[in-house]
Amino acid sequence: MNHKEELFKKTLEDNDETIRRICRYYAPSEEDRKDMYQEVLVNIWRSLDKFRRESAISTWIYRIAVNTALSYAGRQYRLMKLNVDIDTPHLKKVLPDENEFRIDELQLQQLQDHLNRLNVIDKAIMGLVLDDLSMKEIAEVIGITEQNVRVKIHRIKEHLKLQMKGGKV
Amino acid sequence: MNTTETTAKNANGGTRPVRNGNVPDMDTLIKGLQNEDTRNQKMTRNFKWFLTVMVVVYTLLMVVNPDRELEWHHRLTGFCYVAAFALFALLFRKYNKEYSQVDYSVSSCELFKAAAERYKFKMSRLLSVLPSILLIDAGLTISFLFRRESFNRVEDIFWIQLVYFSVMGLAFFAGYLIWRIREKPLRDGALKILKDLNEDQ
Repeated sequence: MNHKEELFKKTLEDNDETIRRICRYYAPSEEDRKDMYQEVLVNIWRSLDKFRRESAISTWIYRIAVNTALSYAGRQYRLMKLNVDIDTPHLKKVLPDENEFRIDELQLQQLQDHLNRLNVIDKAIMGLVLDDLSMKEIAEVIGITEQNVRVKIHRIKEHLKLQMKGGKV
Repeated sequence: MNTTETTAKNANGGTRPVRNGNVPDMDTLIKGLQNEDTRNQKMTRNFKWFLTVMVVVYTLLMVVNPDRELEWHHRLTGFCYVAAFALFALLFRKYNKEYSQVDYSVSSCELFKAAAERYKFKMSRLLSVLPSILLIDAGLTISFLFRRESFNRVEDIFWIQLVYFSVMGLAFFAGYLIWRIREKPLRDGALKILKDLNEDQ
């Protein structure tokens, strides 16, 4: 087995769950999720030679996965989703008020609808928030400043709060 | 799990191994990826070789061939074609590199800036093929003019130019349509994402 193959296998072993989770967040359907997963693997393979260890491997994987999802959306722009369910880890992080984490099925559906009305970049950012990435890491993945990430997340949460006003969330 | 293996087209038109189940077999996947790498490299290499062989063959046959029956206009025609092939080879190398090296490991902002630039309809790209087009035109014109005895060379040149540039015009229009259908939506998508990225700044 050559070095690239070894590195590829090791990278997948260590990050497979992250990749699958990202595909689950963003793919518009089950079928697209499988295609997106395959495409992320293809892009990881193609970029392996360029990995210079200037960033953490996890950030590097997030970049490839998010960029693949965004490119996927580029082809079917409006189809990119941000899928959440009650078992989504760190779900409270995307809620307008993190401290009041009580959400029922109806509110979850409401939240899902409003999340899906966000533009694709906002969906990408909220996906990274769901994965508990720090502001610095999100900034590195997306390529904007930490300050800008903070402002965006604040604005998205304010928007969600306004949209869901009247609910218990 | 159903593990029937098929292949699917990827974004660059190549094929990748796909299994009709959740988890692709890792060895099959790696083999498929390696095959695709090899196929892409082979295609590029073959096209480069084809152009190089054309340049060498035309140079030997039409430019440096010591045959006394070859007149100066044959050699000039040959030189025009050789130069056009060589320029095409260089352009192919440049654009092939640009299109095949999309790096998904950069930040989203960089990725979409590069995509917007790559899919832009550029006059400079058109101008870069102009020397090759003019060289082929010169070669064709010289070749036709000396092929038959003509009473009115100006009229002949006019008709050759009319036919040649009509064909080139159609080729340009076809290229524009292909760009509009295939690449412009990608550029528009990239620009929209960049606009969303720059909001709140």
